[in-house]
Amino acid sequence: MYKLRKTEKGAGLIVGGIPNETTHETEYGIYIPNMLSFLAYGNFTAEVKGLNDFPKANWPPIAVTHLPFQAMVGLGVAMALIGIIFAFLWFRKKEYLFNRKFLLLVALATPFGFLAVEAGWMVTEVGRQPWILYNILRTSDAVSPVPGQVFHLIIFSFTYILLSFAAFWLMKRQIQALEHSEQGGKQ
Amino acid sequence: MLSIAIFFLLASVYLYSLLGGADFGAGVLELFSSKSKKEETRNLISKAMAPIWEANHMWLIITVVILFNAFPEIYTRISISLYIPLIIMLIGIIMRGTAFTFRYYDAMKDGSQEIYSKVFTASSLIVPFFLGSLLGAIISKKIMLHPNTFWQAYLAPWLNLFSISIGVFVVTIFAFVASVFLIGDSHDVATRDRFIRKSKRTTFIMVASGGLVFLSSYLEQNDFTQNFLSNFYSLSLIALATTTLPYLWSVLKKGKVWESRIIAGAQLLFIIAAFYAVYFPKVVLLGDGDALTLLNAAAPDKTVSALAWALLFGSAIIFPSLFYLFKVFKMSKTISVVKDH
Repeated sequence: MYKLRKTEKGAGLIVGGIPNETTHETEYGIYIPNMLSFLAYGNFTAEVKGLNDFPKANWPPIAVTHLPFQAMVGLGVAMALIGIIFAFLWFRKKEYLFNRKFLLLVALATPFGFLAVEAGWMVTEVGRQPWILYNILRTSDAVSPVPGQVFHLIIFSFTYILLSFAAFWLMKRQIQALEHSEQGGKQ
Repeated sequence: MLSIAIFFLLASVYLYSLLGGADFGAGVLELFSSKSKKEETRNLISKAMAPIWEANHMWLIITVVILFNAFPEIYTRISISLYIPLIIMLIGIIMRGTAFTFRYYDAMKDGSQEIYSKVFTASSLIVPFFLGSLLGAIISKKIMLHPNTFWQAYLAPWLNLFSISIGVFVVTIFAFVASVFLIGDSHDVATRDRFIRKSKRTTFIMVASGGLVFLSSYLEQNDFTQNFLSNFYSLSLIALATTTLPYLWSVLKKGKVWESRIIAGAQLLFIIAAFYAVYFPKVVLLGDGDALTLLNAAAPDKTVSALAWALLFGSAIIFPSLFYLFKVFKMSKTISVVKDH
């Protein structure tokens, strides 16, 4: 899933950065030597196969795979950092646990987990393209011959958007009902 | 190993018709119940269905998984040629479950309850209808491997009298099963009597719409009726289902809940088995006279036996837990009735 251009031993890891689709280089990233080899094989000098060793027809869309991967890792690190801050405050500065800024940070981090899962999902689904079964079946060969697939996409997107709004609306009503019963006592 | 996969396929179709069917039928009954009694019917259905309705859709999922793994050609043919009824069914199942859950759990009981009920009852009618028309379509000999027009490819198989009549028949079967099942869930004499009357009515409607299937087969000039009447098993199964009807009514009159449920379940089994028997082991009858059967459309042995083992191990877990689920929610009804009052 991580993008490496050339096959090399002791491959490095680039954190952040924006992939350039024309030069196939990642620009503005932080380079950590030998890290990729370690992550992939647990060995700092292992050989990692680069994209160039695969036929270009079998390349996944690079930017769509690379950016969610960075997002997933970034969000994971952010959540871990918040955890560390929490542990630090818990043991050392308990009075800051209910500091407005810290609570705001925790509240902001609420969707991080979901976003990271979604981003990871994008990495696996887009990153395995053009295969739906690796080396056996291409996605383009697996598509149903039924015409008008775009309508399915529209119908199901609409259904799920509708359901999401309904879920929000329902949650709002649950909270409202709770407030109502708290104000008026049990009725 | 193939026979194990076939057994589980047929069994899960039956169990979905029985348990899922009772749920759909309950929605159909609510749709057609008189305005003054709607509220009462609704409450009864909510109480009877709420804890376990999700478990019943498991059987549809198992059916689909068995087709997908063990009979991929049948799966492919159905999901291409019959994608329109399939999509409608899918959306109906989503809408129905959502509306039912919302109606049950929404903290505010206001006008929105009406909307939930409308969506719930309408989709309770739509899903079994399209399920039936889909089952009709696969034996209507109108599915083409090389169709020339959109109509021929995606509409003609299910948009014809025969398939539609099977759709109607499935709706009425489900309503029949639900009306018998709900008798046991009603806990006052008036409601119970109302549902006993209801189940007699649904029985007649079911028998009548079964007649419509044969009539439409005659009008469509397909050989379903002919094959049905010349098949010993189909005939004896239907005879069994019919002759047990008076027995069902006498049991209903005496108010024996579990006996009546078991008899209705057995009658459903006879009806479905009678339909299976007509073309067994053929599943999809194609327009050119060929057929996809459970034997010629099966996956390689390795796949089938892996699936069969999974089904055997899985059922060792599923059946005891399902039994427990039903025991907890269905048999302890008397306790919950006491608590409610």
